[in-house]
Amino acid sequence: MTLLSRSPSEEGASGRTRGQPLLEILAPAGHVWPLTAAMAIGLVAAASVRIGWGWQLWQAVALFLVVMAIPVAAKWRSDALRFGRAAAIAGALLTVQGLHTVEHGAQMYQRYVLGFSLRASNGLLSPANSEWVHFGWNWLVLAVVVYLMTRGMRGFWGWALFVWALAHTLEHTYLFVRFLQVGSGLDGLGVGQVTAQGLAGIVGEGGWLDLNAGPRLRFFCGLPGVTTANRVDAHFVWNTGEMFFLIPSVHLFLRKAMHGRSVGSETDTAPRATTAL
Amino acid sequence: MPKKRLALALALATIIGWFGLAATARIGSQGRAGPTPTAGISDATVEMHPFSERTCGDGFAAHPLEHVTQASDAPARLFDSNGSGVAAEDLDDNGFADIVLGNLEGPNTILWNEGGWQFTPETMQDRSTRAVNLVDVDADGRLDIVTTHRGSGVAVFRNAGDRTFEQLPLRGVNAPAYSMSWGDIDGDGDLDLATGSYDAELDQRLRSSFLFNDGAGVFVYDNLGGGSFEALRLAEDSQALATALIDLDLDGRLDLLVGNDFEMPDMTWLHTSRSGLVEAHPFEFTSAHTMSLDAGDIDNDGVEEIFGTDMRPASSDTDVMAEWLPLMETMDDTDDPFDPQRIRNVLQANRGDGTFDEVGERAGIDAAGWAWSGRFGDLDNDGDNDLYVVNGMIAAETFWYLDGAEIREPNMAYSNRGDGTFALADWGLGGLESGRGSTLVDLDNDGRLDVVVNNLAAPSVAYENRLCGAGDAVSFSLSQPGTANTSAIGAEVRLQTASGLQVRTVRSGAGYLSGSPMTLHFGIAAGDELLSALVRWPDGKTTVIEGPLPGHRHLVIRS
Repeated sequence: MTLLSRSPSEEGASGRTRGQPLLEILAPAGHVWPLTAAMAIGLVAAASVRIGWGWQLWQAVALFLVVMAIPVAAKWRSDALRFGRAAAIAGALLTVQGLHTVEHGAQMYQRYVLGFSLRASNGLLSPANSEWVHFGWNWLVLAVVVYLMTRGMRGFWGWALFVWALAHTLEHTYLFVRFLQVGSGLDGLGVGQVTAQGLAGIVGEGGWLDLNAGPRLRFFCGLPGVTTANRVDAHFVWNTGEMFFLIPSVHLFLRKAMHGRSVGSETDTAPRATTAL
Repeated sequence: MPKKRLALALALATIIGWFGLAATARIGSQGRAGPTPTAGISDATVEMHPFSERTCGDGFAAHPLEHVTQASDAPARLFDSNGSGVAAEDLDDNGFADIVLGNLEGPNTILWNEGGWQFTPETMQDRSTRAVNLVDVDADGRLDIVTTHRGSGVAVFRNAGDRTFEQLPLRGVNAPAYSMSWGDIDGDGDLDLATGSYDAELDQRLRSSFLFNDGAGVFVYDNLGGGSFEALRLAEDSQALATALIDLDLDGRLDLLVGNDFEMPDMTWLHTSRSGLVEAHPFEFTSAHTMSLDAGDIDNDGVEEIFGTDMRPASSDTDVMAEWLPLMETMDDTDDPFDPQRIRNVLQANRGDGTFDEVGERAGIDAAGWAWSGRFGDLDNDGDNDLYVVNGMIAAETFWYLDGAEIREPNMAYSNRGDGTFALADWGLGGLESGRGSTLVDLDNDGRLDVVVNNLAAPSVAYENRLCGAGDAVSFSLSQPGTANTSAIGAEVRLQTASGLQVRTVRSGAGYLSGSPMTLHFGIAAGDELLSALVRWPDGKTTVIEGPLPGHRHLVIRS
């Protein structure tokens, strides 16, 4: 008779962190040294090029991320082996969306602590603050959320996350289309050096709702920020909202996954050891 | 039979009034709550003149006028781009409001209103004009023409009464003035003057002589009588596109509000009983580049709101955004998150204690394009103030990438919904010319406000109001003969109707560089009933007119 059981390492991990799956998926586990070393090297390298060679902030941050990329990828691969592909993807989503939210937090810091203009409040990776990146990023996030839902990340939080991510993606789709249209208009006027980056979207001050639907949707448009928030505020809220729904969604999803309940197809789960009795 | 006699007298008075003959209305009196020390009762006589027959149509009909405000260059360059103002009121006592249009490179134009939408043009010996007001400066009972100028100061053209004018010296009024406002600031019964300079233009035009000059800024001129004024300098620098005398703290005294361009904060001085004009900051938010100021009660609560214009695209359409974006980028460079100035129109709602809520976005009037003159008036005679905003910009330096270096935007007419919000109205007022000054005035005496716009580099336009809703109107012209303020500038009429209260104030000017008619217009909603009109004269005394007649202009002459 053959019974399905967990691998020893998985058993131990689950046993140690029962009820704390987020910590489990985010913990470096067996990658403490590579990650620590990469972080140290990355920080020293970034500081060196920034201070010593005069690189711009975004270049230094990009260098740091490149240095971190290999050990982080190795960690995620290990997660996939330990908890299954879906769980690893959920953890990766949580990590990168968290970093993305930090980027928007940095924009808020630049705007309200350092007093930067809206246009200059670009975060740590200013060239990445483009409509192309936001558009691609949010569709990717939405695709991952949908994938995870098909693997069991549903329930109230999962659906709430989906709705929020969908709305956020539609906002960026609208922004992207406007970016292309207005950019085309600028080209037509011969002012190609100006980009259509940073326009208002559906929500926020000067957005579609503000200019078109305020009187008809008075309650909704009267909600704080819906027609008054500037772009930095609006997208900080979009992303913190996404994290607000993502954290419990991933938590519940991982709890099921790490307890060995179904999180999708067999191929999505970690390899199982078989014991013959 | 006293009752029969009373009924007969009332009927007779009504008939006489209806046919346009002078009739004397019953004058009552009522005290006004408030601290005004001279509050009391004043007698007056009232002449009532019926409005003329209305012509009905879909909306407003545009009449191009024989005047084009010309800039030094084509396309216009900064700061000719700012254009000129306009004012309209009856200057020749023929019963029709005449139009005075300022000009920059050419002479100003007077359009003598002959009635029937016929105007006889006449050029003035004045040019480089910014603001235009019609004020009885010499207190002879006739409105004079007062103008400010690019790079210089105030000029007064005394109205001789026979369609001729002679320049009147204003001794003591010497500082450069761009915007101005007249009113009895110190409460001594005569008309004082407040002016603000536009230093960016002075710097451009005068260069070193401006740098070494010490004469710009905000001034208040106390009228000493006999054409002499004493200057009080309130600020050494200003970019004053708009100046307004409004009772901000509701104490019965005129306060001074100056709207500044170029992110220079707007300035406010409250007129206190002890210290005179004291600088204050009653607004939480203001517009960043205040282009014009007007006051009007939009919710009929008896307290006026203040509307200030700024630049913000009225639409998010692709073409509009492409035209605006290069400019918006440069504006964003100076964007400060802690600045209480916003790049949009503002509507300041008085909380009743002299502080204000900014409700422009809530009201739906925060974005009207590159807005210049914004004026309140009940355009559709439904009992509440609507709003008309003219806009557009021509600037060779800024909009080099556009045809004619011009942003062409339709002027915006906003209909008051009666709930504190406005809706864009399709009244045929969306002219695409580059409007600057504007005034709302009844040019054909039909009881409906018409609109006059002074456009830059395009013919000025008078829009004839042909809206024929179910509402009616009543108007009041106040007169204080024998005083130093014959037109009762600063007086207020509070019209009590069955449905509520409407308030209008006599002002020399409002909006952008433009005059205000001395006749106060009130729309009356269909089915509403007029109960009384309380006139609060500039000295605080009051006169109550019982049962004013709808469909009539009331000439109220203070005894």
